Amino acid sequence: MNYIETEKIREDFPILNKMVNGNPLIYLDNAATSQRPRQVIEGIKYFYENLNANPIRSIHYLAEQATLEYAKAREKIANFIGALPEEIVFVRNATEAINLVSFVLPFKEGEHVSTSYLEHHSNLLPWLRLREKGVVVDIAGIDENYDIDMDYYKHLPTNTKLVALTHVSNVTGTTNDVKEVTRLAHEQGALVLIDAAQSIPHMPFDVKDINADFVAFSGHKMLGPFGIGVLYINKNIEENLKPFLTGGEMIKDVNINKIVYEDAPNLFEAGTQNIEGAYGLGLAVDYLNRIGMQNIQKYEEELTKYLYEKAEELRNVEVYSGKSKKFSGVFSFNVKGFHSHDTAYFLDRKGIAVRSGFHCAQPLVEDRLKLDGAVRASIYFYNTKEEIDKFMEELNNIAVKYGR
Amino acid sequence: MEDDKFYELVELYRNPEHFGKLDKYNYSKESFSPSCGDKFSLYLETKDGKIENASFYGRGCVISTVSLSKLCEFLIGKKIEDVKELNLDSIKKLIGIDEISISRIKCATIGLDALKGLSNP
Repeated sequence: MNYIETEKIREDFPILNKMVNGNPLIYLDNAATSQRPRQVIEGIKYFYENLNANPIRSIHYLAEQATLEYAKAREKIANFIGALPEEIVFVRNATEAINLVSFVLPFKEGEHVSTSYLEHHSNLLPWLRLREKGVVVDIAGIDENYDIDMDYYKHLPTNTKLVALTHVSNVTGTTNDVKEVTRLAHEQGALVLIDAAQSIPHMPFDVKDINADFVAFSGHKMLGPFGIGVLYINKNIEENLKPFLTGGEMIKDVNINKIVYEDAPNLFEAGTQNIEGAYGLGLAVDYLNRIGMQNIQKYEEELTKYLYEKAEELRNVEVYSGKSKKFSGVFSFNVKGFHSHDTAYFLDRKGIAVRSGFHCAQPLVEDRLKLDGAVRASIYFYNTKEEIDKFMEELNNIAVKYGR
Repeated sequence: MEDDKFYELVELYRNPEHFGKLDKYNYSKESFSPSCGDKFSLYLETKDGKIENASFYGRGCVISTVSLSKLCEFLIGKKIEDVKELNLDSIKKLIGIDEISISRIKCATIGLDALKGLSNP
C-alpha cells in the first residue's frame, strides 16, 4: 500500500501523536468527524493574521483579499466535485444543506418526497417535517443485507417531486448506486438530492456524472473546519428556488415595497459567512487532491478488507455492517449481551476512539437492525494496519471477558 | 472507574433488581438518552405522598440500567417530597462510584428525568 505514505501523512496530523488514557490514540471515529492536518490548522491562523476582513462588502485591500480567497475556496470545492463555482452554496454542514432544500423547494400538498431507511436523521427529519404541509413522505426499504430496494426507484409513486438518498450509510456502510437512482428518478420527473457526507471524503466524486440536482456534504468529515458545509445545486434548477434565510448580501435591490433577490449561490448565503471555514475547507481540498482521491479510495478499500478479515477471528462479536454489495470503511458491531456504550467505554480506556449508540439513524438501528445501539469503528486514510490489529486485539479481550 | 468496580456493575446489569413493569402503578414516565439509545420507563405506585413500590423497564447500558435499579431500590418507602432533591451526586452514591465522565451523565440521570413529572400530593 505504498501509494499512500501513511507514516509521512501521519506527521501532518498533530493530534494522532496524542496519548489517551495512557495509550497512543487510535482514532476510529472518522465517520463522526475527521482529524485535521496542520496545513488546515495553520492555514486558518494565517487567514486571521493576513487576510481577515468582511468579504464582498467593503472595497479596501483586506476586504478584497478576503473576497478573493472566499471565491477561490468556492472554485476549489467546485473543481473537487466537478461542479461550477456558482453551483456551490456554503452552509454550516450537510444537515443545514438538506434543511435548506426542504425550505426552498416549493412543495405542494399531495406531492411526494422520498427518503430511505438508510438515512442519517439529517436526511430524514427535514422531509418528515414536510408532512405538516400535506406532503407525502415515502421511505424506501432495505433488504437483509442492507441494500436499498432498487425496484422502488423503478416505480416511484406518481407525483414524486424529490428523491433524497444517502450515498453511503454511516451505520451499515452500504454504498448506494446513486447514479442509477438519479437516472431512474429523472426518467420519472423527480429531482434528486444526494447526502454525500460519508462519501465525498473517501472517494472521487463527479457530480455531473451522477447528475444529481442537489448534493449535501460537511467540511469537518473531510479534514476541513467545523461549521462549514456545502450544498451543490445544479444551475439548471436554481431559478425556481425561493430564498432560505433573508438579509445581507443576498439581494440585488431593496425597496420597502419591492425586493430583487440575488442569484444563487449568493441567494442562499445571507449575512456574513464563515469565511475562515470556507478558506480552511479549500485547504483541506488541496490536501486531499495532493494525496489523490483515487489513492485514498484504494487504500481505504484495502484497509477495510483487512479489518473484515481480522474480524472473522473475533469471539462473541456480532457484526452488522459490510454485508451490502458495496460498502465503505465502516465497521458496526456489538459484543454479544453488552451495550454498545459499555464496549466503547472499554475501548476508550485503551485509547481507541469509536462511536456507540444510534449514530443519528434511529429508525435504521432500532426498526431494521432491531438494536438499541451499536458500536462503530470508521477508518480514514491515515489509519494503519497496526492500528486495526491493536483495535481487534482489545475488542477481542473485551468480548471474551464480557460477551456471551 | 476501576475494572473491578465496572465488573461488579456488569453483574448487577445482567440481572437488575426491580426490572419489569409493576402490576399496579399510578405514575409512569418514559425517559431517553437519545445519542446512546437508552430508553426506559419508570413505574411508581404512590399512596398518601409516599412511594410504595417502584420498578423500571426498557433497554440501555450498564450505567443507566444499574442507576435505575438502585434508584428504584432507594425510592421504595420514601416520601415524594424527599425524593425531589435527588441529583447526579445521589446517583453516584447509589451506584458507588466517585466520578462519572461527561458523556455518561445522561445515562446516570435517566431515572431522575423520569421522576420530573412526579408531583407532591
